[in-house]
Amino acid sequence: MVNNKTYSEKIVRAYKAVSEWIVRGLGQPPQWPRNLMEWVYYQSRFFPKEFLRTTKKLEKKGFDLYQIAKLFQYPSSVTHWLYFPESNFGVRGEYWAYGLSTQEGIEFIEKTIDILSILRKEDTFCNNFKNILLKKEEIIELVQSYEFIEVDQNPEFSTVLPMLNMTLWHYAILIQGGLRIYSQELHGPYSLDDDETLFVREYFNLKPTRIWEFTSAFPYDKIIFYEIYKDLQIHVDMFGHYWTSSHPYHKLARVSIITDNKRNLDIHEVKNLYKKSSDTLNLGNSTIKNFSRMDWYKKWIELGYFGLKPLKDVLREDWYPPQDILTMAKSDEEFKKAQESGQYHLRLVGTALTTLSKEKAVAEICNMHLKTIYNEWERKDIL
Amino acid sequence: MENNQLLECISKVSSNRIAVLLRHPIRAEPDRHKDYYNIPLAPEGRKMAIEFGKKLPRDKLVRIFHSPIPRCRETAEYIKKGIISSTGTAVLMGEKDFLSAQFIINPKDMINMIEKMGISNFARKWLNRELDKKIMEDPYKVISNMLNGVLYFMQEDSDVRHAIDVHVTHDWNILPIKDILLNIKHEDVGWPDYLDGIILTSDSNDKKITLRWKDVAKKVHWEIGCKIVLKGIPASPGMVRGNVRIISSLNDIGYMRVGEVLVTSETNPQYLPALIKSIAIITDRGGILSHPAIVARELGVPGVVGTSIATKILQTGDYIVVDGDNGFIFQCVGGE
Repeated sequence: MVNNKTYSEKIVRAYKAVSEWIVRGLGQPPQWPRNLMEWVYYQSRFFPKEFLRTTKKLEKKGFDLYQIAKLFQYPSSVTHWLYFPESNFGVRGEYWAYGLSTQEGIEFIEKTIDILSILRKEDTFCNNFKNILLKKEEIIELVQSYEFIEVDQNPEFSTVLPMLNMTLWHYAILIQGGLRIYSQELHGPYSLDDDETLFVREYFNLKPTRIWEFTSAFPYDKIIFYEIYKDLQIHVDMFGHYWTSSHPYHKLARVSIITDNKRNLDIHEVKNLYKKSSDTLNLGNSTIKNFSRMDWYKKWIELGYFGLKPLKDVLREDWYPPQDILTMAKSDEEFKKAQESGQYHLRLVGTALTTLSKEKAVAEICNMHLKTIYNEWERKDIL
Repeated sequence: MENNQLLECISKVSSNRIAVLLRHPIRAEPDRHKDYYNIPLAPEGRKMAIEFGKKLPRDKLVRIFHSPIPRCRETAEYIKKGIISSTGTAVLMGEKDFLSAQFIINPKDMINMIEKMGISNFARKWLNRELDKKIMEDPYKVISNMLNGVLYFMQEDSDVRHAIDVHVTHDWNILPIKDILLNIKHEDVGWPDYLDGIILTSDSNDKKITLRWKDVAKKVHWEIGCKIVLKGIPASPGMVRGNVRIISSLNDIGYMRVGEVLVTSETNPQYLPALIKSIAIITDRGGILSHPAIVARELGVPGVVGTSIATKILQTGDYIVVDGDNGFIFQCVGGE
């Protein structure tokens, strides 16, 4: 029977944006360390439920959603939560958000969108290809109060920075089990005067030592690059991808690098950081060399819970996942379901991408999300 | 290729779609340093263009494109006259920027340097990318622009069958294609002559484009081909040539040498030591926002992703040209 109930406008808008992104990205989820759809499946088994439980506890303590959003700080990883319904595309009988009712599942999605809206100053889905996290006043203060190194006068920066950045980028991918945006936020571009643009790369949660022992060798938990470019167009999308009108480091005018305890690293410190980052990355690569799928699933569960650490810290709760959730990583039954979910996803989304026009594929994929979230596959297509 | 040889080659090519990059015929003597742009064809050049048109195959539609520079427009018009006078069919497709004198950034400095070091040495420095980019455009960029334009029209309309696209352009646009893609040095075979050219053929079955050139000067019948063996998603701009290194597993990473083209199915953090040695990155999987695409852009090296089959088509050691602007991978082969 066709259900003509209306969907939440907020959710429809969100999934139009997500679907457009999927179509633009050719629907090729990363395969390292495992297919991204397996990650989506395992997260959906605990994350929405644990998130709602934790936020409700905070709300009881008087926290509103604005304060909760601020605890997360970085929106790009939050945007990823919108993927969770894909874990059960077309797999009927079980709701995508494990242990939640349909109403709670919708609540999870709505809260996710609200958090994004707060963190991104209402351009929730980076429609203008900008990821704006700082206010104008904050930018002015930042540019005036920080010391910036002139790259022209320190040309070594333009050769060392790409290498350092690439190393940190890969380090973030490794310690977050394939999902760098849980340790990296790219934000901006913020327009300054004289065709100058500020672009910010933040690397954070770089020492999750309880999950990865080797990260204790890494020198900092947080590193921020404030980069000022001349005549460069920078685009950032809602999932933290960025691209530029030309090779960025050729247009870099000034830079200021901030770490946990130090402002404005000089070239020797940057080189030293590059070396230490490379060394720690090598240690990490040795650690994962013989990882099985179960090892990765365990890491994904730990990392999922680690994402809620800022909230748990406020509640003075241990963030580490309980044993019954961790055992999921070893379950053959869960593995089978994860595979099945991936196959359904490939069949449904892959078919839409390869057989339909771009517009129709966006509509089809958006409808799939909405029907899954609302748990009604017979519902009428709205797009 | 001398124009008679070129015509002979065009008539022998079996492919339905042919494109010819053609240098304009003889022009009037340039008035030193003045109005190089508007130098017209010499009377002899006009005759050459008409004769060339007359000898083009009559059973094919000839579409003529030209550089915005007047002598190339004249060439196009006279070639058309020749075709029509011999009852062939031709259509003028107008001026195209990719055929223009895009290679010159600063004409004054270019002429001064040519006078000082001689045209051959100047060209060599340019082709080796040793010249200041404020004087001459990067030759790789010139190739990329040219091929992108030519191949676009060659592939655009499947209804235009049995067509020859003639692109009238300049010696300096032909030179880098010969030198860099076909590995034919002007020091060995001479400067591109008037109405000299390169032929591109398209095989409709496997969608590959082949560039051909015959060495007439040495009177040796051999062909050098440079095929577009792959087309992927252009992910990071730039063009380079180099040897392939296939990375199929972690065990291969240690073999990667500085200056090789990394070809893999998909990249991951364990590949970083290989990625930073690469001069270009090609992958089977991924889109414009994928990890290898981002890495290539970040490192400032050309990148082509989503080729589906790069790791199957290419082999370690293959000599290729990667065009990150257009997503083409050329494989250059030659022989007697």
